[in-house]
Amino acid sequence: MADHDTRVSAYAARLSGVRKTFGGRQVLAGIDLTIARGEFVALLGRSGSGKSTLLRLLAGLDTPDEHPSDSARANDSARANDSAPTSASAPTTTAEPTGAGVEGGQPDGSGTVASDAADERERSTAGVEDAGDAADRQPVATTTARPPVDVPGRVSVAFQDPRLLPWRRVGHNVRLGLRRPDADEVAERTLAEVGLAGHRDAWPLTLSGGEAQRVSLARALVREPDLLLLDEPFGALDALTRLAMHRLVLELWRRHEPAVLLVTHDVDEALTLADRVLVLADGRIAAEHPVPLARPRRRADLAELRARVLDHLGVSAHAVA
Amino acid sequence: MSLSTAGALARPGTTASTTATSTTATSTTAPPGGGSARRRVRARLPAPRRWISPLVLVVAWQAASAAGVLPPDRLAAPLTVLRSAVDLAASGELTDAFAVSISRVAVGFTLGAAVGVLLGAVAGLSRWGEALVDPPVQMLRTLPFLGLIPLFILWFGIGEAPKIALVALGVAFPLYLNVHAGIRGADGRLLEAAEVLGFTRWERLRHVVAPAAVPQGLVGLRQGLAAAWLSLIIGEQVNADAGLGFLINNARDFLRTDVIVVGLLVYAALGLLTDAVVRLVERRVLRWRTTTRG
Ligand SMILES: Nc1ncnc2c1ncn2[C@@H]1O[C@H](COP(=O)(O)OP(=O)(O)OP(=O)(O)O)[C@@H](O)[C@H]1O
Ligand SMILES: [Mg+2]
Repeated sequence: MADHDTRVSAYAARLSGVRKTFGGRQVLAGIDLTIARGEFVALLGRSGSGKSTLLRLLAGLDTPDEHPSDSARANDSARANDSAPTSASAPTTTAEPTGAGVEGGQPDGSGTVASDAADERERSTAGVEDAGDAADRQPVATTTARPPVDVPGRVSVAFQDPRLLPWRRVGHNVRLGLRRPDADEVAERTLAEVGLAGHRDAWPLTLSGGEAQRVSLARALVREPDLLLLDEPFGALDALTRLAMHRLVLELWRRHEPAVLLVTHDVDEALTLADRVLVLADGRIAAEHPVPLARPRRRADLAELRARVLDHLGVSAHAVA
Repeated sequence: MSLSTAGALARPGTTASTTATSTTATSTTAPPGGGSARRRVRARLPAPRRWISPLVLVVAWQAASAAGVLPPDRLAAPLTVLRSAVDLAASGELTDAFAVSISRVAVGFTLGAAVGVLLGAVAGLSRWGEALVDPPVQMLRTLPFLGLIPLFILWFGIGEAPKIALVALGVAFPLYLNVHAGIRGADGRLLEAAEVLGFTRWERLRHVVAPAAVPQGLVGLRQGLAAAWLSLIIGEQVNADAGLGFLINNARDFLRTDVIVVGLLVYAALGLLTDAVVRLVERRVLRWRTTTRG
């Protein structure tokens, strides 16, 4: 990611007062979040709390609600910009006081939300038609001030389901996101990194669940993203494969240095991997826990933090754990 | 349907492959469970005991003819049919008729397939296209297209044109429906993945939408081919001065049931042949799916 224009920005992603409403129900109620370059962030939250929604916004697959007053926040943004950390892995404190944008009582609340959501729905079922403009839409979102979703670099996503193209061989699947002459070589190298060098010519449908997940991870990594979004990528794996994948992700993270946002249900997973653990509740970042421990981490060292995070997850804590 | 019935009249070998056709036909929608490629090849030759009843039927047919129970002006004996098939082939009559019929199907199929696929793609790829194309096509589809023959004769006369038009019409509908459905059925989750990977519109079409529509499109191809042969047979009955239909109609005037049966057998063989070709294409194009784990 050396040759990227993200050099200039200190963050891999920044959300400012992001809201998302589906059919009148507000799922995200003002999210402020900055992910520093190279930072590993885990996002916890009970089912339906909006984690995937947040991730989809970051991926540009969805657009946030229209922002009521961007100009009112302009000052805020300038300050936050200055204080944004520049070192890659230092934990950032950016669960900013959300006062100004969210609670300050904006007169023109929801705008054209409903039609927007309907539009999105249609798009996702409508073949290729129009699927192209989502990517273009994002940067245009605001002209006056800080855009609600700002992702300056390249984004990769590993979805919860592997989403490989079944009619392309494994190697081809990995190569698909690459636009460079040595794509084949790079794809092969990345496949080797996820331990699947021998499966280049296999059809995706012949892979085991864990193998398919790893191919999906390879496909996301091969693009050398500045921001890697992982939506419960280990959800379907057994405990042993899961541990192996944790090691693998950390290793790849160290080597490629992308910023990572890992969505997970698993508190231990979050604490073992991340620099910072966020808890999403009631549409906001309800809690933030830096994990200032060197890796590899031992379970025993995490006990106290674990208790605190579970506490923040509230009643659902025992269910989540 | 009528093709399979025609096939049932055929020699034991033909009957056997008809059975194979119908069993493999189901595999277009569901991948064959477990069976390795080698096992499937072997399975295409039916077990010996499946040969018994067809053979018995043919022998009984021959015996009935020899005993005079089946007079030749009702149904010629199998051996007579075989002999006249050889004669017709030797005289070049059969080959000529064959060539005429094949070219009618080829032209009609090409036209119908082009229209069907094009309209299916338009309706599948664009909302407006669907809104404009789908209603009239769905309305026309409810017409029994073989019932259009009188109109076609009025419009196109009695030459090649109405026959070709009938074939084209029979082919266009199944291809339209299946291509349309195939494209619409493309997995939205894969499209999202493609979007995140930064695919252009063209790449999305090439790598996601088109391959996703292929299995269903092949189903349409098969149905289209079956409709093509059916349309040809009906069309050639009406008024023909050449082709297999002419051969058969002519034979009817001279009570030559042997020639009629030969004509039917050729129709059946052609239907089976094109079906086999599609199956071959399917096996090649859908390789990614045939390797599915059980
Ligand atoms: N396109 C949509 N239309 C309507 N509602 C939606 C849409 N997408 C998400 N939602 C709703 O938003 C809420 C948050 O969904 P989201 O998928 O973000 O949850 P999540 O935190 O990822 O949950 P889980 O842990 O179960 O994956 C859910 O109640 C869901 O029903
Ligand atoms: Mg989710």
